[in-house]
Amino acid sequence: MREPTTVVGVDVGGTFTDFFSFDESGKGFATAKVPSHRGDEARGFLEGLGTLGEISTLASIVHGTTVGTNALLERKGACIGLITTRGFRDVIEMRRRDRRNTWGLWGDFAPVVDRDLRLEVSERTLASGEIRAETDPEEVRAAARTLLAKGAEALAIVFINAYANPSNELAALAAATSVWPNENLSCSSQILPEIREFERTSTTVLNAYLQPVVGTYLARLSEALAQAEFRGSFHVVQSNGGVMSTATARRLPVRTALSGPAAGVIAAAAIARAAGFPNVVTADLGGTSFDVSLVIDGETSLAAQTTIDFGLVIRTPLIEITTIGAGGGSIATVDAGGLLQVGPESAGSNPGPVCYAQGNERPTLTDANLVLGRINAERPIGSAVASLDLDAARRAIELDVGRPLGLDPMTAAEAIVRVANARMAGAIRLVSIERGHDPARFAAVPFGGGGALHAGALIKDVGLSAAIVPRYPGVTSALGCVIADIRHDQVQTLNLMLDDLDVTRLAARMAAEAIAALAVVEAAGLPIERIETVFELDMHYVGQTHTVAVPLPTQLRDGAVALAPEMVRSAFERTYQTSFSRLLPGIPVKIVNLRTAAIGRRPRFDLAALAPDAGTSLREARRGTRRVWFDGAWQEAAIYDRLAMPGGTTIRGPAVLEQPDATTLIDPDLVARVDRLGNLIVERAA
Amino acid sequence: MRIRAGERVRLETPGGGGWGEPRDRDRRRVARDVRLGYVGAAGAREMYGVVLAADDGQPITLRDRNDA
Repeated sequence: MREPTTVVGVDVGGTFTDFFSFDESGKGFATAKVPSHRGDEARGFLEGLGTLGEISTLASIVHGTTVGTNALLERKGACIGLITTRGFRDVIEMRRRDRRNTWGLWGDFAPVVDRDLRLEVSERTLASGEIRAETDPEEVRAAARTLLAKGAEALAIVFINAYANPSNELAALAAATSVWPNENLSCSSQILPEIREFERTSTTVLNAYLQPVVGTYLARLSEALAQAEFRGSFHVVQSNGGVMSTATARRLPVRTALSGPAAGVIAAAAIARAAGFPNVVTADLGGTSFDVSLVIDGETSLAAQTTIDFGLVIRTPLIEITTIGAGGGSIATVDAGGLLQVGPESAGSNPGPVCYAQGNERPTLTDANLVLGRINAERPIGSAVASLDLDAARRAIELDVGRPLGLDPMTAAEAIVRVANARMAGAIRLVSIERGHDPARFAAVPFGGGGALHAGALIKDVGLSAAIVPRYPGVTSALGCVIADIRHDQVQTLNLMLDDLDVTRLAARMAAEAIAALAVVEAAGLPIERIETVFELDMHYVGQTHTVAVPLPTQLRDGAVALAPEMVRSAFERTYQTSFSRLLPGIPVKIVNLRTAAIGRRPRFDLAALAPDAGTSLREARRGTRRVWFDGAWQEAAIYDRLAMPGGTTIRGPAVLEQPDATTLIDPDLVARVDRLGNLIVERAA
Repeated sequence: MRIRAGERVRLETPGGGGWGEPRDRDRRRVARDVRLGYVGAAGAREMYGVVLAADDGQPITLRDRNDA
């Protein structure tokens, strides 16, 4: 039997589960899209894999998941306990004294761990790392037993200043492990050895909160895969856009919080780069949400932390993604003030839009697109339903939106699309214009099931230069799973003064961090070409609270790191100058944190594998015409089989391009050309 | 103020403003406040008129004023 070489990316979203399978030897690929089953994700998972061939012959599966995100958003994590230093059990409750609503006295916050499940023990680690009082193992064991008796399924241990010296925490962990019945326990120095009590506590606690959920989920999937005789390796995409082993995912589930969306950004960035557009805004429109992210010079933007919901802060490097609740399933309503709202409430895939005829009677964005002729009722995307009920969609729009606003159904449907477009445009402005980037320098990469339906409106609304519609927009996140590198990030607070820096010691520290990160990447078990290490120092002038992230131009080589004293200072001054246009001479400089990433570069995925076959012609791709509603009137739009369109051809709007995983709409004043990789470049007509 | 080693300054503040008659607060909420340590057992009895069972922390007595 030949060695299996097929890698499958599986992105389980709220509405659809998407598949992209790639055979690394034969360069063949396949895609699939099936409905997601909330709570029984393994079903869609295996259903879709089954359509791609024998599961037993797959080399590996890389999974983008929202199971962690959903558990956080819906507060459906485990019952957990926290053991902390005496006097500090309310760190997680006080947060940073931020408020849910700036004005007024309303807005409650309940931490994911109740106060009576936060137990304090005697110990004291000072900020210098000195141990003032040691851990009493018997006290910790007693606390762990109490928490178990109260029903805790996972345990977090967070001691004050443990980033400076983990010994008390590790002693407590050892004591707790001796009485804890499962593997769901960890301490902050293992999860985030970084200064700042609240962020460290929150991240460690949320990790514990997710551990039983994500662990059970992955175990269930692994078991289902094993039953289908899958013998390959199984991986998970992290929020930083890198891949990790399922073993690491079970240990650090908090790093899966933006797993699926991150995979989409990775793919969109790679596609745009290959198409010659290094500066893009990725725009993923799924069934429930719209996710945007900025790619500059081909690089995704990483943020140091994110707030999943009010007070739920996760500090770990992650791709900066802005999400709003607008998707194909977003429900359109007229609110009490008489204003038309679209989302955030979504009909998801079940019951789904009205046109799915599965019991939902409230009109959605997809229903509006259907009524406007933009979606083909006979060829819906995904395999949820065989055809769409146009009349039901129109009736729902008339009833819920048309009548309350005094609009006819067509105008009401157009209004729904316009409100949704305005919300999406707002999200794009937030990451571009409001951060000082000129949108004219950026192109959009619309993807997800619905992104390409709205691309034209978005580039016109926001003033973007073009839209690059990937060849398979509906399975972009799944493609991202296949091409993403393996990555492991670490952080360690150092608190060193630059003036009396012992460079040899710092270099040794960096090497040790890099070797540890490297080991995680090597253990992941996916084929890689090489491993790179990336070092960054968080630095500031003494007295400042915020830091700048200073990249160091050095790598781990033969187990050591070359570091010159001047390298650190000049790197800091360069970064500081770029951010603030000045330096502060005479003020001492401090190194706060060391950030280390090991990146295992996967064999380069040549997107030419997706390019259209030579020998097709635009005439063969033509499927006739259909009435499509634009700007208050029906227009006759050309219909094309998108995948049959040859490279190099250009079409003018109005046109609708159909393919199994998505629909692309070309507005009357736009033109689209197919590039050599099969992407569609949509621009304003000259 | 100069504080020497071994000395301590202790500030006791009230638990913030409230609204309404404490004895009208849902007794299950009072029980929860006690369980979470925001209100002591004595405070629950004196201010909220709620006495909690020693074993499971459930509210057990009726309020002397509002309830018969």
